[in-house]
Amino acid sequence: MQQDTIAQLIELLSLSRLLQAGMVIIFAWLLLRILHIGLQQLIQRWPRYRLQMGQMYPMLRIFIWLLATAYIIFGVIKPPQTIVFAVLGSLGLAVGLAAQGGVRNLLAGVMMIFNPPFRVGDMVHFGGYYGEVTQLDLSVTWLRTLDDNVIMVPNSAVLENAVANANSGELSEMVVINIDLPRTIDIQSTRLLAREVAMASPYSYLKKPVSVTVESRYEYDFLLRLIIKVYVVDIRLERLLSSDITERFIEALQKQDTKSVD
Amino acid sequence: MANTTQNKTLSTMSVFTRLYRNLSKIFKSQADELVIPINIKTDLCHAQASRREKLYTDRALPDSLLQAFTEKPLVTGDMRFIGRDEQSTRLLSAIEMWQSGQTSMLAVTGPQGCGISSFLQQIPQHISDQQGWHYSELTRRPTDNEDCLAQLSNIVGSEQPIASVAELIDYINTLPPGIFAIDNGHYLASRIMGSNQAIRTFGAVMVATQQRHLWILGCQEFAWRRLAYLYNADRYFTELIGLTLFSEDELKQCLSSRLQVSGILLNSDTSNEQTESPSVLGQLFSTLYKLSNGKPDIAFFYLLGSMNFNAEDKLWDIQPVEQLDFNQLKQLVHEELFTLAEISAHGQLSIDDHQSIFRSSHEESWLLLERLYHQCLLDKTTNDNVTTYHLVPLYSDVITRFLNNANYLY
Repeated sequence: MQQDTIAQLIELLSLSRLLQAGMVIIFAWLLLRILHIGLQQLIQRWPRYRLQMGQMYPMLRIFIWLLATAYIIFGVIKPPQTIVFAVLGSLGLAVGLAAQGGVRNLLAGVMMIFNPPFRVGDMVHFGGYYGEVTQLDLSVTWLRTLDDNVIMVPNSAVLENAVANANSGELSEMVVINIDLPRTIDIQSTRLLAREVAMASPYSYLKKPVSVTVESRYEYDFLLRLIIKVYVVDIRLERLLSSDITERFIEALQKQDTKSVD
Repeated sequence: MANTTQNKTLSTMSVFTRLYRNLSKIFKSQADELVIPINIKTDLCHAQASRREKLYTDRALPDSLLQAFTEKPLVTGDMRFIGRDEQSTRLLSAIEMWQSGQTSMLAVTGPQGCGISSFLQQIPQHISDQQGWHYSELTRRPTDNEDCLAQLSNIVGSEQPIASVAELIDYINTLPPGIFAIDNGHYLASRIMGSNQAIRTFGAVMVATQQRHLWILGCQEFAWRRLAYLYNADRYFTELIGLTLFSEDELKQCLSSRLQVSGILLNSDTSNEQTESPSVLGQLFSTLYKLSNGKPDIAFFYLLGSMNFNAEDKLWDIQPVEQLDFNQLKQLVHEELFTLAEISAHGQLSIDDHQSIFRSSHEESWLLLERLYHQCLLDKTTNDNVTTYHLVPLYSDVITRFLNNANYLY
């Protein structure tokens, strides 16, 4: 019985069928390359919508590979049911035992396709790392951190940990800048100054509100913490905005001090 | 049987022929549809003011034609002012409401080059009391509170700058009721540190005197948006009148009226009723609309550039329209695009302004602005030893659309 199945399998995997299957795979790969290049062109033409367009590719990729696989199995190889069940059973057992973690990641990847907690281009805290999602694969997600490191995070981290998404598909995101000051400063004027500084940065997104709040804290001495919340025009400029506002604010404070001394 | 097969084949062929025709229509480029040919010019400097003058001189375009197609704002009652009926009606009804005692403040906004100044200058012909009409324009950005008070004092006709906001409000409230139209309001939008107070003072004076006077502020679109985001300006203005670039019909009307003023006859601008095909001039106007997106100044440039006087026949020839190629915008880097965006929103930037916004050295700012100037994306003017850079008016629409699409301007 087992020998029959193997013989049937060998018969099914004839050279012509393998060639046909190879052609289908090459065609699917080419189609995906064309789609990828086309989407990149569209993104270059309409950068404002890069996140929306970027999220289409992972879905298209899975869809096309699923179609190609289904076509190869049911359109090219056309195996009898007994072989399908035998192969599926053996494969399922082998894969299940050998790659428990991998299957888990794969399942998480499928879940992420249908219920995405983030998209390509989003800034996320995920698997202990913070960065921009650059690629979504079935089993892993690729992040580019603010230090320009590329991190591969297994998708199962989505099932096990919380995911924080800073921009949720938008190009702008809130940036929080904390500045500690001595308690003796004039709170009212400093708060107004911080607000003006935040609005003056060319990277701040003025369409959304700028807020400055103050809280008291103790670190060897009583301090006032100024919390500037401002949206950045593009998530990739997050650090630039943060540094720009801090620099401006310190400079403005120094100027103010110089004036008051004069 | 053979007939049926033949019919099926013919019917399939006709389906494919129809499909091919429809697809051809969809993918046919704009230029192919136009009878007036288009040449692509890569050099944006081709449209620079000095080069334009040379081009027009070479073509021997008469002064009457050049004067008719001036890009300067149209004065009150100029017959070249066309369209804007809906906006005029809204403006006049707002003026009537103010005259009946209702407090109001108006803002007239629109993209650069859509004719805000011309629109404001047409108001006097619709109002009975000419004495109460005051038109003025901001020539530079108020830098601080004192500068703002000085500029406002000048606008309301005070011989000496008034020193405090309260005194200025008192002074304005003693003047006979009138309409104060202030153009170039986009100079108020600013990211420059310190100008915040100046803008608030400007607004406070307008709000505090609106009971007695009607304030009309002319402001470019993106600057207005910024004023609305930062200072809630839209909440203080009771009526917002938005101007847009011309529609195809309006642009045709605009070009025709200017040709008429120049003395060039429009006899050829009639459609051939027998063939129902538009005249050459009509096709030219359609081409100009597609190339200019309804922005008059660039349409004028394309039109004048395509006109050539044939001395032998004493007739005007229409030459292929030379289209400008804006692909160089795609080569610009982050800092250049941010600079263009700020210039677009602020109306203009000096080197000091740029330095303040981008926290760069004087040399860096100068270098960057000059680079954009030499790429013919910016123009510069020097007043009182201060050089300010602004978008080349002809290209402002293309540049702002590009920046908006690339998320630098919003």
